[in-house]
Amino acid sequence: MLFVMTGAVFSQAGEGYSPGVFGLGMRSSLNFFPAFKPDDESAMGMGAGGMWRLAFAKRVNTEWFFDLIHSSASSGNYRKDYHIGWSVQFALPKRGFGGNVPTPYILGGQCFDLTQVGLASGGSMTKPVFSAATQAGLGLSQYLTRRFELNAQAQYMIHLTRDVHVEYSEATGEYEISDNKGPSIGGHVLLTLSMSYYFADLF
Amino acid sequence: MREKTIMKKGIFILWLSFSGITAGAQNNVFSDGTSLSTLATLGIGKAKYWEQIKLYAHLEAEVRPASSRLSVAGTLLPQLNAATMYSLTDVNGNVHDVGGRSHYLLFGSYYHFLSSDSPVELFAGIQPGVAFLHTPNEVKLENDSSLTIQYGITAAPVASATAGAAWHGSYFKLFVQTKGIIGRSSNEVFRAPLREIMISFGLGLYLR
Repeated sequence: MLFVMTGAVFSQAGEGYSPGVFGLGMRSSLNFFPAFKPDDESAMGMGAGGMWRLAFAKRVNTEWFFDLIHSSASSGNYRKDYHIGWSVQFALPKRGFGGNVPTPYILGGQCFDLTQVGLASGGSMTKPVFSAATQAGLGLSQYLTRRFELNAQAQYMIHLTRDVHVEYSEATGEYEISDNKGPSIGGHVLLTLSMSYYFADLF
Repeated sequence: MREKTIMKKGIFILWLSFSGITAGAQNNVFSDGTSLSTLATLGIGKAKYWEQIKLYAHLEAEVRPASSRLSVAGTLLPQLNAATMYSLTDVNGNVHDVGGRSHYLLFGSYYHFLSSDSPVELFAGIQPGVAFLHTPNEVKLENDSSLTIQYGITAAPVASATAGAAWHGSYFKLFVQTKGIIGRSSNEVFRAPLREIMISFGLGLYLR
């Protein structure tokens, strides 16, 4: 039924990128959690999610997203993140988004994060830890058709309120879960590849 | 008994396909040349950490706008058999299979190498999505040879790449396609990279 409805609005959609266009999409991400202190451990993760996009001006687009990310470290310790957030994208060329050539842009936004971590040595994962985060980075937009857009993004996300992660304790000689309250630069890198289809013109 | 259940599910899916064709023959949905194809068939998959071949119901819907090389495709792959992941041998030498399932929900896009006017389709695409894993959480093999398995259900992110070919008539479509799925599951129940390749073919509904 969803696909029939989607198909039915193809002929009613707006003409390419312009303020007010609205689209839905899916995204895959690679996540890298670097180690900032000798006791920290780095982790790699993979994510999948969805989003909608709403354009506000020729050079300003917005993205509202949800991600599920699973990550693990070489030690076997692991973490799970749920992201829900938004970002504003500002096109660097004066012509704005759209057209037949790639459009580089800068982006920034905010995100709410639920994180669970677990130790390879056993036991349950922590309860979900809520934190607010902010992210910024660079992106590249390419329209394959007038309504179909591919995006590649590289961002860095910093947790502003609370950060839970695994670190090695010299005292005990074991990995332990660390729960820090307050800002931390120990965030993570997100590399995202997404595709969106614009099918409505809202204003 | 398990084979009979799988057989019944297979017959039901084939019935869905043919009932769709009958319904499609009575409709002319898109006057602008947009095509909609749906398919319901069986597929098989081989995954890392699963010893046995997995059997899937392959349910897919694809919308391709007129004169466009790109289409939007949503795929649901429920695993029908509890395929063996590994086996345990008790003190009496009896072998006990420990099974598990993975179901996939994927949504993405296919690129078609031939124009929409051609009855032949060659396509490739990418679909991010989610795997729903029903895997053993706790396995106990008692001295009396009884096996107790506690299962857990978890969701994990995945991405898939698809390549395939199809031929369509006025209301139906014959197709063959293969999917590669990669992902990662990090939780208490199942912690492992997900790797799977699957193939399916069959008959679907095609409307234009």
